[in-house]
Amino acid sequence: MRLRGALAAVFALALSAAASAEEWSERDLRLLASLRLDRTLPPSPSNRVADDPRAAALGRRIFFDPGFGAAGKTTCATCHQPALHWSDGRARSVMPAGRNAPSVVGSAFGSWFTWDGRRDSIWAQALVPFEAPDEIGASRTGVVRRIASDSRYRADYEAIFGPLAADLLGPDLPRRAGPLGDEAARRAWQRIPQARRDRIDRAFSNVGKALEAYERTLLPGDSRFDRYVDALRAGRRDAAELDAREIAGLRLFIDPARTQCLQCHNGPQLTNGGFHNLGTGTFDGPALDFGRALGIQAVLLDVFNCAGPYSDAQPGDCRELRFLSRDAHVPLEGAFKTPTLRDVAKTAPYFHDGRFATLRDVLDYYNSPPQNDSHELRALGLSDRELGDLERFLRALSGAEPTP
Amino acid sequence: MKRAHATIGRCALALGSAAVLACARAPAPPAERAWGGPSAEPGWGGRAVSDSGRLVGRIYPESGDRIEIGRFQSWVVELREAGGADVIGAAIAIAGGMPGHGHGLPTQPRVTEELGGGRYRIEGVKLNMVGAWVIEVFVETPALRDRLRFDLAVDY
Repeated sequence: MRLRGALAAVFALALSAAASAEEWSERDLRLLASLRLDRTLPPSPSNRVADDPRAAALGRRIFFDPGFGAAGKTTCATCHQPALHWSDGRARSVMPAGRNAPSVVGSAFGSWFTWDGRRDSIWAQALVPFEAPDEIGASRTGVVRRIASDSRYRADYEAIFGPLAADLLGPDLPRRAGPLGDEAARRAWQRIPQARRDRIDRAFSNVGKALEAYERTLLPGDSRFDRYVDALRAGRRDAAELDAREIAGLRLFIDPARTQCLQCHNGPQLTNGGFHNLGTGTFDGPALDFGRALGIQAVLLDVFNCAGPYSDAQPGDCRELRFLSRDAHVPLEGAFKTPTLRDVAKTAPYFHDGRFATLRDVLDYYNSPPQNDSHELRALGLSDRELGDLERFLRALSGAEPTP
Repeated sequence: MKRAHATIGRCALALGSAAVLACARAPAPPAERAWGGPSAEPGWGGRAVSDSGRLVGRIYPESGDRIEIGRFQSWVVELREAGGADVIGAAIAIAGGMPGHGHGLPTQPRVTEELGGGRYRIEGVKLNMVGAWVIEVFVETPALRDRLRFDLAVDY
C-alpha cells in the first residue's frame, strides 16, 4: 500500500512536470517564438557608418572620454554605466525634472529615443547630453575642437568621415559656442557665419554617428526564457530552463484575459517601441512632464532628424517621420515610451521618473492602477502569489552582459 | 487574392448589398501558417461594406498574407461600387485604432499611389500589438463621399 502510494506520488509529479511543457497550444508556441530574442540589427538609414567597425571604435573612445565635459568628469558612461547594465541606478539622472536613464543595451532596435521620443536615431539622441548643462555640459564647438585638436581623434575621424574643414582646425574656432548652450555660448554661435555653422554641425553630427556605431554593438544576450522557447521549439517536453513558478508567470504574461503585458511588451525586444499613457504624466510643479505630446513636436523641429540636412537617408527612408502620427491628442499627454523588459531585473528603479524602486512596486501599480479613465490601464486583480510568479518570470529575462 | 476578390464581385452582382455583407463576413477556410510572428490569413475580416451600402472594399497586405506587428507594411485597399465598377480617382484618408484599448493608430498611414482596378496602395501601416483593430477608409470622388470600416482581428 505504502509503495503503491509512493509510486503514485512519483507518477503524479512526473505527470505535472511533463504537463507544464505540453500544455502549450500551437498558438502559444507561435506567440512564444515571436518573443524570442533576435539580434539581427535593423538598418540605420540616416547613418552611413552605423555598422563601420572603425566608427564603433571611435565612438567607444568618445563614450568613455571625460575630456569633453566642462567639469572634465561627465561622460556618456556616467548615466550609462556598464556595471549597472548601462543605466545609472538613480531615479532621475538630473534633478528635479530629469528622467530615469535607460540602458543603452539593445537601443539599436528602437525607432524613437528618450522617454518621449524626441529624437529619431541613436546618433541624434547621443548629441543631446553634450549640450545639456546638467549633463556633459560641453558646447557644439567645444566637441568639434576636441576632435580637431587631439591628433588621434582627428586621424580616426578623418579616416571615416574625410578631412575636417580647414576653418574647424584653427584656434579661432570659439571654445564655447552653440545654439543650445548658455547665453554667452548662444551669442558666440550667432556671430559665426551660417556656412561655418553648417560645417560645425556636420562634424558634430559625425560624433553622434560614431557613438551610434558603438552603441549598436551593445546587444542583449539570450536569457533563460529564450533557451526555454528554443527547447519547446525543438520539441523537448522536459524543458527545464524555467521552473514551475516562472512558467506560471509566463502564462500570466501572455494571458490577455488576466494581464495586459503583451499589448506593449511584445516582439523579440519585449517592447512595441510605442508610447502609452499609464497615468504617470506630471502636469504641474517642478517635474512637469507631458511625455510624447511634446516629444512629437521636438523631433519634427530637430535639425538632426532623419529628414534633416545631416542625415544620410535617401528620400523615402525616413518612414517613422513620414508616417508620424502628428496629432498631439490628449491620450499622448503623459504617454511615455515602452521600455524593453530584457534584463529588466538589472535596471531599477523604474518608469520615466524612477518612481518605482522595485519590480514588485511596478507590478503592484499595474495590478491596482489609479481609479480613473485618464490612462490605458485596468485593474488586474492578481493575487500576491501571481504577482510573485510574474516577478520571477521577469527575472528570467536576464542575459549575459555585452562587453564594453 | 484574385479568387476572393472575384467572390466579392459575384456576391455583389447576384444578390445585392445585403448579401454582400454576409459574403464579406463568411469565415475563410483556415490556411497553413508558418511558425513565427503575428499573422492573418486572407479573409481575416479585411472586407467591408461602406456606410451607405454603395461600396464594397477589401484591405490586405501588399505582399504576403500576414499582418506584421512592429514593422512597417504596405497594404492595398480595393474599392468597388456594389454594381461591380472599380472606384477610380478617389481621394482617400485613413484612420483607425483599437476601440477596446482607447488608442488610435500608432502611425498615420496614407494612400501613396493609385494602382488601377480600384486598388490603392496604403503606406505607413505599423501596428504595435495583436488584437481587434479598426481601420477606417474615407473615400471621396466627384460622385460620392463614403466611409468603410474594416474590423481586423490580428492574432499570433
